[in-house]
Amino acid sequence: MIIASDLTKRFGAIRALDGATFSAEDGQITGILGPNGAGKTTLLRIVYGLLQPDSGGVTLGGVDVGLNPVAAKKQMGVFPDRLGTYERLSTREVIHYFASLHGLDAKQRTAAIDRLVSELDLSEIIDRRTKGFSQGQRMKVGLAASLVHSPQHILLDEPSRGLDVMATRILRDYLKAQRAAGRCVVFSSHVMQEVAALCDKVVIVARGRVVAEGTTAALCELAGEPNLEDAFVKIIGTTEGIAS
Amino acid sequence: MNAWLGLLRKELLEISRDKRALISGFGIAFLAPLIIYGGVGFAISQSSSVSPVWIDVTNADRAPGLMETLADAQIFDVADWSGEGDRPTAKLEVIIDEDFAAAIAEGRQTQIILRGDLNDDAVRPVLGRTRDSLRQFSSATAGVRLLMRGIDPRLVQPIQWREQNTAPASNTAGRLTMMIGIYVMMAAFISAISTAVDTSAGERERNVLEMLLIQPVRPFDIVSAKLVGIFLVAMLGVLLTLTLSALAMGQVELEKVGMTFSLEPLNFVLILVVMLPLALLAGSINLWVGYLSKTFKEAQSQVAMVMLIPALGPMTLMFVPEPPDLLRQMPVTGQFMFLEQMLKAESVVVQEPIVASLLTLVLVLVFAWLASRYLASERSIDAL
Repeated sequence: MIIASDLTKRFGAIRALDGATFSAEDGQITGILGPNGAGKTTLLRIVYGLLQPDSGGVTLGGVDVGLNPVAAKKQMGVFPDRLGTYERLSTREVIHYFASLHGLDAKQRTAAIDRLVSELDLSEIIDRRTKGFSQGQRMKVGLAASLVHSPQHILLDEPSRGLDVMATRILRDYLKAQRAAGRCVVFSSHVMQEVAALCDKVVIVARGRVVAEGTTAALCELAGEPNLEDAFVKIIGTTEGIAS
Repeated sequence: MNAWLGLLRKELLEISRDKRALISGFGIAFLAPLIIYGGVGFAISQSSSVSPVWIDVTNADRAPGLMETLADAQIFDVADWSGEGDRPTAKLEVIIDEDFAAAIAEGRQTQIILRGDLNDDAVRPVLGRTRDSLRQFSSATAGVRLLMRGIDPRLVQPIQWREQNTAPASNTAGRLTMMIGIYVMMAAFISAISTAVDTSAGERERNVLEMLLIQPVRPFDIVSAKLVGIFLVAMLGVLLTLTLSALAMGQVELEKVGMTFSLEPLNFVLILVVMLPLALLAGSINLWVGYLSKTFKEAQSQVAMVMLIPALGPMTLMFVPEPPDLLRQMPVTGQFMFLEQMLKAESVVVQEPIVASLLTLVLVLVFAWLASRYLASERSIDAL
């Protein structure tokens, strides 16, 4: 379970987060929804320990991310906002690398690679160098690298950006499987359909604050609107920076 | 330990596949022997052989004896040019007095004017050789005049001197081979620039740095693994440069100028050992500057600029006749002066390179810590 409490963060004169609070349960997919510039990436970067909040804190599986970042990072798999690839390495070598960083020994690494090849259908690209991979193939390599150590907490920052329909479906199915396995999945997006189709709980972020949270149905009821998009617009009070 | 080995393994894999960085890094190793073989060989051939030079002589017909003396020294009048192609340009004008023959015959003093751009580097050797020949002719004529008057010419030459060079051949060659020292030092600093920039600023530009910093590894582990990779490239550059330069030196005809060159296996190994901390220093500076730079291109230019500073140290020392002893214990200058002693086969005070190496390692830790601290800061993601 992830608990973020009263997070604030400034970058110079810009207030990126202004007391953001949310929680994400195990066995659920929690969507962080907000327009461009709402503070989603900053919020997730604080949760996965890349940025330090000016105030407030995050616990992940009971571990304080600020106080014990290495222990917290061992429990999380992160698919960051900017996901590049090691173009001179093959998919197998990339996964091997990240498995090593999580301390997996040779046997565990081999088992993890075999599991990911099967789960993410990597057989065609497992021994190819990643240079020239499509967005979908890059997404698969990124997911494999993030989840090679079977983390309890999975954090994804706009993972479907740039993906085609087939790649998006693969991603969705994979995240559903992780939820079924009892994992705590958090992902940010500004795509309504994706969030509505996938999330058990939606956290709406605007101007650095969590302005509402709950199930899709609860948010629609709160806003008195028939669908999530209309409810979202009503809650944040603007249509700027929203994709349907 | 698994994690650190994983970091190192990935660095080595990437480095071994980055052909462009390796080719540019090892360029100096292949360039150095070419310059040594071409440059030093040319210098030796110039100094060990007397090539003909051409001068413009006025009234040459009045001084046939002098013209013979000049011809013996391979100095010829352009008026006598009979070869194929364009007539050579006379670098010096020699004006013989019209009265020259009569003055010589009558035992009087006569005058010769040497005219030209005497500040020109190309003219000065011709001037020197012409002066020597004139001095020789003048001295011989004076000797004949004195003998004809019954006077021993040695009376007017109370001192006769001879120069005997007692410097060992290896020492003399050492001065010439200091070029190797310069190249080896440069190899330590320059070989791994591309690799360091690629693994620091390059990783950020390829958007893989954020993913790395999210992993449960300490920034110092990341920096130290990268540093080992960069260090290995730099040392390979040093090894190649030293080996190929020494081989090239062996091919130069040093015996023509009475010199020999040999690099004993022990000295070869000692040079490599002393270069180890220097290669680490170069790597740590490269990494730190690479991370501080905002873009890959900026990193390339900044690292190259920063690397010039330590590389300039040895070059400056070349022009200091007696550098202070303290410099033997300082990073960079200490290693260079040790190299100089090894190449000249001189005896070495062991403590000096050890102190220089320890101080260099302290600097390595400082720069590695600075790079780690930068990675641990929020600025590292966007190079703010």
